Amino acid sequence: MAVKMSQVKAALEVEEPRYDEAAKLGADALPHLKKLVTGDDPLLAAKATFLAGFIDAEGSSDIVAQAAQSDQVVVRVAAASSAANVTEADTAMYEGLLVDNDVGVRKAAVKSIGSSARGDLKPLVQELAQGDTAEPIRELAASTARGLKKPK
Amino acid sequence: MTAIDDKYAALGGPGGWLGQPTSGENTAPDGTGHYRHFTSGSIYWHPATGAHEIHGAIRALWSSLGWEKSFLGYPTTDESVTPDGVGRYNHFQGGSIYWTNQTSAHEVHGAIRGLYSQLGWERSFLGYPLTNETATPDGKGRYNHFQGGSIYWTPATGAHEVHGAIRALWSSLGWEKSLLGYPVTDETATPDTKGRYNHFQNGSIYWTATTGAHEVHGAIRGLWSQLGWEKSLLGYPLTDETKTPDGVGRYNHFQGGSIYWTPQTGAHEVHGAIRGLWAQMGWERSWLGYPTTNELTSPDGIGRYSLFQHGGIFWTPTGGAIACREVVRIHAKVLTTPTVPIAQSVAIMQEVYGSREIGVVLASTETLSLPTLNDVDVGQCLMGQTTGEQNTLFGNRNNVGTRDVAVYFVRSTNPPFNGCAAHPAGQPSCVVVQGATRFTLAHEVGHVLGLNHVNDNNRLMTGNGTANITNPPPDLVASEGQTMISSNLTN
Repeated sequence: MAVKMSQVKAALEVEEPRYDEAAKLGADALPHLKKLVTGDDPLLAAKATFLAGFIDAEGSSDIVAQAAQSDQVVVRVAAASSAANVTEADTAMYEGLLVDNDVGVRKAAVKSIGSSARGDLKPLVQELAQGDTAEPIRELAASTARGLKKPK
Repeated sequence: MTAIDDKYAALGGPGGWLGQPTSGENTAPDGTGHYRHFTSGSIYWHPATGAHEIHGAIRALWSSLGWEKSFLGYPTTDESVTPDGVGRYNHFQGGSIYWTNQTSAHEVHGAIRGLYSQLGWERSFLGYPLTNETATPDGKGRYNHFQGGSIYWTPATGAHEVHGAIRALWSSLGWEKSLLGYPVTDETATPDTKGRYNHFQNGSIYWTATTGAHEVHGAIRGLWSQLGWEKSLLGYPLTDETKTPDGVGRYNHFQGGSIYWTPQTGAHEVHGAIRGLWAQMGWERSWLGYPTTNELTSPDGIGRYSLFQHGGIFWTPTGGAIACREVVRIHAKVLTTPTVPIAQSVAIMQEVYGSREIGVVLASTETLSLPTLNDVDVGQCLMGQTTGEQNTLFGNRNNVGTRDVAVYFVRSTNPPFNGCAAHPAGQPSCVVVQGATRFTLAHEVGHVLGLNHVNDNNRLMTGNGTANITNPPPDLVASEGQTMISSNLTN
């Protein structure tokens, strides 16, 4: 493993990580990120989640999916945000994030779906636009759904 | 036999000390009573008072005042020895005349006599009167001076005594013509029993054995009163209100501090180490100028600070008192309570910024319920570039002045950062996330004030993460301090 944990931490422990720069650590950083995602520092775990998605290599989606199951809300928010960067973000993961009991997670998930143009998830987003308990989420979901094209 | 004859007989008749009659019994000029003069005195009779003798200096004074037609009316007693055995007196329908060999005869009447009586007549600390009741020079009041003090009366204030050192100070200030006006209380023991005071129409004089008597008035007295008078941390005054050397303001020094006043700044107290440093710097003639606040507690409940016209003095148990030329005011807008308490982050910020003579004031704290902005999208977090969510969040600026910095404590950012200082023009702001370090607040506000990252883990603005700071508290170098002071966000 060419990349050391210390390098990964150094990239993430700064106040405002430059994820584009940190992503140059490449796929070798993913095992370290996987450890950090389940670590006891939620902020570092959130950063690790986001970086894993940003690297977008084989294994990234698993780390993001794992983060989506975290007990820590900020980690799930990061997973939802990071999903936009993962080429093969898991549909089941999105399904879970869209019904998360935290409004911040749902908001991040909808925005990720929108920015990654996941037309296959349009029905889920439309469902949210109809039934979410939070009006801002319903509005965001409706707006996002309008911009999504159903896959052919 | 008339009552006057009976009285004369009782006093020894022609062989008594009154001597031979020098007049017959006559109707008094007021037509209601009778009198008869004798070689050594007179006997006056009135149906309401009976017959009483009057003689010597007391009779002479009564005579000079107009006998029974004076405000004193008819005597209600013979001349009597005072209980202390030193003097003599006659009571009259409308007052009394007291005499001693030392003081001669003086009348007391009305409300002044009422208070004199209440205090114990000549056996009180006032002793015997030294004057008749006299009109004050301003024409509004009346007074009697006594051996041990004075009683002053006006229709508005009633009768009150002043004596001792308090009276001496009041006298030196010009009595009722001074700015203090008339007394509105007698001299009274302070609640702590260590001192004495009189309140006056426009101020007070406080005295203790150790401090002497000093007056306080106006806005300074108002603040001292508000703080708890002598029971406050200030204790008793050590000076009268005095003009400051620069001629602009006024002050009283107290046992535990000072109160300074100017028309522009109002009255504010300074005490303790902050006052010590201000005094050392030259009081109001220092670059700090006059205080604009009382001493305040920092949000951590430990530190203290006072703001001045041109800066502030900040005190912490570890750092002592530091004078700051500029102050940055921050407002906490709390969407999520951070793991490191805001007060702790502010205290650290004060310590670090204080090293460059920049004070930090947490001017307000407001809780915001904005669930959809609690994980706020900050984009790439580049100065000058903000997202719609940042713009919406930073629009919540209750109480935030145009030169203040609003800090939004959120749960997280997207992407995940410790904080982000990117803000729209004209809305100086930053966000700090729940899991940020104790230095993140100071770091992000540093960005707002114009500082950039450095590659040095000894410094606050390290770009390597404030979690990795190696010598807490971190440094701000001189050039960084200058940049911050040059910012229009430090005042």
